[in-house]
Amino acid sequence: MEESTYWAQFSRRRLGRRAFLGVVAAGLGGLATACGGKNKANNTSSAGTTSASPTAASASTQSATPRGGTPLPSATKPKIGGSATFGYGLNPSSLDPHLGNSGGDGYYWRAIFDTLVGTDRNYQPTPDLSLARTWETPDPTTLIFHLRDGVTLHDGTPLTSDLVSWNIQRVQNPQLKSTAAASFATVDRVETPDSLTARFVLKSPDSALLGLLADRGGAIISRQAAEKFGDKFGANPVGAGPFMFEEWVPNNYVKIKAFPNYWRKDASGNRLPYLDELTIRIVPDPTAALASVRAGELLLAGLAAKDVSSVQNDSSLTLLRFEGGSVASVLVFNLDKPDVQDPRVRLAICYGVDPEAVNKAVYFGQNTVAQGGMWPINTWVYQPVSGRPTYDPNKARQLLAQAGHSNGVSVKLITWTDDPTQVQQATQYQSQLKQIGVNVQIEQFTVGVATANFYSNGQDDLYSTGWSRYPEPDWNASLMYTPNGFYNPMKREIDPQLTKLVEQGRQEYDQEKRKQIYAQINDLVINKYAYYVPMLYGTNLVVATKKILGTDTLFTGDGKWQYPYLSLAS
Amino acid sequence: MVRYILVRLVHALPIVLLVTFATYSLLLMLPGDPVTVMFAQGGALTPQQQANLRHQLNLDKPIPVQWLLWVKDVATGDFGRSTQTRLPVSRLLRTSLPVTLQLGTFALVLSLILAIPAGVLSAVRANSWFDRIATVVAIGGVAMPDFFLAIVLIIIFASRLHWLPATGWISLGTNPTRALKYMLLPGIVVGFALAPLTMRQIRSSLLEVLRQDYVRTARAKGLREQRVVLVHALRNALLPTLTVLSLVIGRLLAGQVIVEQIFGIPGMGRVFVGAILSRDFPVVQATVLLIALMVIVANLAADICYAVLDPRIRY
Repeated sequence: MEESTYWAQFSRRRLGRRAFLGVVAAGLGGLATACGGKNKANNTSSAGTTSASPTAASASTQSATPRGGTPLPSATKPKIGGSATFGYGLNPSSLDPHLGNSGGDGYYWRAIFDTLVGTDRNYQPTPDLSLARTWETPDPTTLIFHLRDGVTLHDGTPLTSDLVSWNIQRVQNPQLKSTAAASFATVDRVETPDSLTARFVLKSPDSALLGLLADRGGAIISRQAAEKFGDKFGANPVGAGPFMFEEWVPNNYVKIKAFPNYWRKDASGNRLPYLDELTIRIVPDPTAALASVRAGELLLAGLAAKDVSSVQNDSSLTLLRFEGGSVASVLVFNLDKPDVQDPRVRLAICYGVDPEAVNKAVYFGQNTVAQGGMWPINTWVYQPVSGRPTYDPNKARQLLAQAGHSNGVSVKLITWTDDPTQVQQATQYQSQLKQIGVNVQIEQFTVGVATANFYSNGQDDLYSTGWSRYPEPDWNASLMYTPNGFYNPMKREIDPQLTKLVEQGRQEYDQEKRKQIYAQINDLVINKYAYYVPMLYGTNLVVATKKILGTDTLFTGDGKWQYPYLSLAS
Repeated sequence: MVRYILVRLVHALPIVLLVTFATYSLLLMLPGDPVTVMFAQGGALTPQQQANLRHQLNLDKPIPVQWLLWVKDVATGDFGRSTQTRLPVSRLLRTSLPVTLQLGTFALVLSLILAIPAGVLSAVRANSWFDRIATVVAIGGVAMPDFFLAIVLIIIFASRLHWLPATGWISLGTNPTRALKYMLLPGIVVGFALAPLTMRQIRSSLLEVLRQDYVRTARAKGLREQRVVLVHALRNALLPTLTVLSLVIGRLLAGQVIVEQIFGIPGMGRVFVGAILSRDFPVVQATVLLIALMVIVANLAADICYAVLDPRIRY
């Protein structure tokens, strides 16, 4: 009998292929009916649609919340070709995926670069979407990737294991100061037994590696181009993704065009991407962006929560939602600060805030009250945390009295100004906490300064902030819950049990078992220590016109956008 | 005159140096140092790596030394690299400066087209219904926040009427007619904020000039009123207006940040503010240098205009 490998167990967890497709068909039908009210497009879509990608399919089976979006009518072939213009609010910090440091970069680099591992919308690693055809773990410290044959990059260079090895070394190189360098801390070396096999030799077991190879660090860039352009590669990106780079005028737009030799094709064998050319205009103001969408200048743009009702009432526009696209509100406590040292005080604060009220007031009800931990809904690792604090002012007052503060307590909160909703949130919390006798002083800075003040300089008792969606749980866990993590303001061990659990989470390859470990971590972090307590999960909102089809495939596993399956309505 | 210009340009150098030094010191005094800010968003540098990076960026040296090193680089034409994108600063400036100049010049021209006739009419028909309405509009223009006006214009002309685009930018060089459409709304917003100042200034100086004896003489000579006002009086009234304008140029060139933000215009204002917020020293310094130079040149141009307008003024 064949020895069962860790990854074989991992993949056997999921449905067999036929059952999977059957569920997909049912799921897509259900999704289309649920979305039927929002868009006039065909309600009878089925798994047979040419636009059905594994991305859209598996998403529909995971979450009951309708996402909206215009799937292609089942009998129609998508229109191949044409150009479109979209609007997004942030300028990329760099088009080099290894170097950029902004959360908005993914909207650009994911079109130009493919990652070694691709994921579905729940951030589940999926071979069909990856540059690697399959992978296996013969033992806990070896991860072997079998690359697809015949894949070329935009400049014609082939995808080989040597290229993969060079990419990993580039990310690890301390001279480069890549933002993803820490992802590969456990990778000792990448061996290349043959041109299509890349063998990762690890210093210690690392189950996070697959998820991290689906992010920046795993983006495969062209060695030839990197060497040719040197440090100007960030303005001349070359990868293996569906689109080729055409032009980037900073703060104005990024233009990309279809890569004719892209390795992936759709279910009917049509070329991907469907669009010939795509311009992503950088439009920072959401009101102006919506006006541009209405005027037909943009076919798709990011949407602010305040504009949702006007879009819903407009039959020419489609609303797309991705719940769990971020952690919109989280309270982070510095456990060593005297005012909040007593866990009962921290818990009291968590019981004393009303996230639903904040959701209505600041986010127009578009976000979701957090019932779990820092890994938001619509990720494979998400689970509600039983017994976690909810809004209960009486319990809050009780806890404060138990801690000996029946006369009230004063705390210093820090937040950032770049996004007005953060300040609005903090002010709401301030007035809610006043009701239970907690007097909150708010300090505001820009995000870089606020983060540095709280984490590096140990100022302030708590940080009211938001967080990007990081679906690979170890990424956050290592940075927040370990003694020397960058996002640990105390820079000391919080609990030996917690440190051990984080390490276990990284070394356990069985996904179900990992999920349980992270559930235990959440229990400790939230219920015992009230350390990182999320209050609201953010919803990514997008408005699209009827001229663009396939928008049900728009969102990626990390909540950003992908464009291969978008096409123009004829 | 030529000697005067040269002397003024030579004076520009110490002014610019002083301005950049002051900016550099102020930046360093702000809370948050560039290294921690650079990586606050999801990177993790070890303390050793941070120290190395700080050394590389000269942040461990005393302020005057840091500034002198920067001056040395600029003197050889090297504006350095942005700490945010690691791409050369000159690339950023090359794309954003023309945009700001284009929009600024257009807004200035628009505001003058609006302000001069309005100011002249207000003065000539002082206290008439036209004057009163113009006063109200002028006060409204100064009082109204430009983001409000911008959104209102976008909703009317872009969303509803579809006459003009809501966002975006095309340079004049690429396509003049389309560029004009993109410039119109933002130009109006900025112009509408500038015009009242100029208009009121023209009105008050013209009112004063019209009371002068030589104007009475010109009328007594039998000249047409139009000629009296436009040829004889206006020239003298324009001098104080020029002063006001030269002061306003600085604001215009520093970038109309809010307008750029709303209309999605890739101008210097956005670059500047973004760089300050992320403590991107090289970009901030280069932008300040450029703005200081432009303000000096604008003031010099204003002074030369004095000489053109008033033959009594000779340098």
